[in-house]
Amino acid sequence: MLILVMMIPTGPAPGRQDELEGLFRELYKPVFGFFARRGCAPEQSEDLAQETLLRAFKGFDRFRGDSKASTWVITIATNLWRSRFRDATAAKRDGEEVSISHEGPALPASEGRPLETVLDVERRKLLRQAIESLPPKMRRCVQLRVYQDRGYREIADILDISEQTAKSQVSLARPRLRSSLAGYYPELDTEG
Amino acid sequence: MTTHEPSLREDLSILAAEDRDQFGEPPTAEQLVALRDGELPEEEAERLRDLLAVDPEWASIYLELKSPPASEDSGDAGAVDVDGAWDRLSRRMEVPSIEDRKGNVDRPGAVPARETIRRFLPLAAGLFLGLGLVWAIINRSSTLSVPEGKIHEVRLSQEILRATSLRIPQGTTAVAFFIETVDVALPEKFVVELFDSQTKLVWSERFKRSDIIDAVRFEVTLSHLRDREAYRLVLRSSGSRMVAPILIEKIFLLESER
Repeated sequence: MLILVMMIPTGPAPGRQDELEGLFRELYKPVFGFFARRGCAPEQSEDLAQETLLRAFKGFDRFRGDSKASTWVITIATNLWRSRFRDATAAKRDGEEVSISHEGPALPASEGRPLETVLDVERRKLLRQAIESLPPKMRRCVQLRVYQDRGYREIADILDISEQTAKSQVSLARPRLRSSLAGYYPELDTEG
Repeated sequence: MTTHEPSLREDLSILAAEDRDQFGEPPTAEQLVALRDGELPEEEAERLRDLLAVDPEWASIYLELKSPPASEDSGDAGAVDVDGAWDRLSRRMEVPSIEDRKGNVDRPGAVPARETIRRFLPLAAGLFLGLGLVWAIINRSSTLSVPEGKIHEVRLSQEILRATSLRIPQGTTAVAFFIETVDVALPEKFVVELFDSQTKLVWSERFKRSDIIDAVRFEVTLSHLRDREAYRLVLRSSGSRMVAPILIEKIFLLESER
């Protein structure tokens, strides 16, 4: 059997390079920013942004006209981030020192007092019961508002509800949580 | 008596961390886009919304998918060298760099002579190599690593994860695995390895990311494979097998048609 190896010239045709360059200039900063906002150092953000746009350009013919280019490229960036995040999480689990950026408040420092820990665990158990007794939409609004500290506009966008609905869900949740958790959380007792 | 005043936000963050652990694999961008577009089954949509409520990272990504940032938004990274980044990317894509194009101010749309030569060099090299192989095959009978006979191609996509049974047609002399890598962040250098059910290394090959586009071709001669044996194919970073992260893993059972 004869096997002939053919190497075909790669790279986009000259007529398309302007189009790709234009797309690159439009999308590079937002893609770079996507990774920078996730805690990546500038060099890493550049590498990841380059990798994202290279993949986008290689699949450019498949993409054309389906959706906004920015959405499509952020989709590729998301999957790339997902892969890296998964690798970093696995490496961290395996004992390597890896920096993973994650928003959200730092956990309270442990003071090593057994009595306090038991009370904390008991209190959180009651909190979980109270939170899980809320209807799903209400529960999510509370978590996004109180834990993630998000504004109502963002909550509405994440849950595909109106801003007014997001506000009313959180308002309705407060008296319900107060009655279940009376005395445990000062902010529930003092807020109207 | 405790001195640390309990905080609803802190306790919710602890509960959220417990909830996140239960979700397992993070969502794909396609799932998030389907959620945005209302195309997910309701049960899956509810599950994803539960995740977004307890995972600030994915909630932020979902918001960016819904409303991609403006073209000038590069986060807090400060000045970003777009020209330099384009130069580096275009070199990877074999597109003339800014410097090259500045020096080639010919008629619009023309391919510069230097670019024409550069484009045909790989073709010329390929023809030369191909002729060399033909010559070698004619004059030498059995020592080439390129297998003669029938090559059975197998495409291992993301959907085929485990316990796949691969049926090999009669007369096959080699199996070529195409491993899709479009969703995998490949390192600069990586290795593909094939292990049998006794964890013995059967075959391995090294690759460079710059040599592949969206799929890795990994060929194994059938004489190295056993019928009705379970194999594990692994794509991992180069370096020590003990610490290099595994990027793709497939398990399959080989069956030959008789």
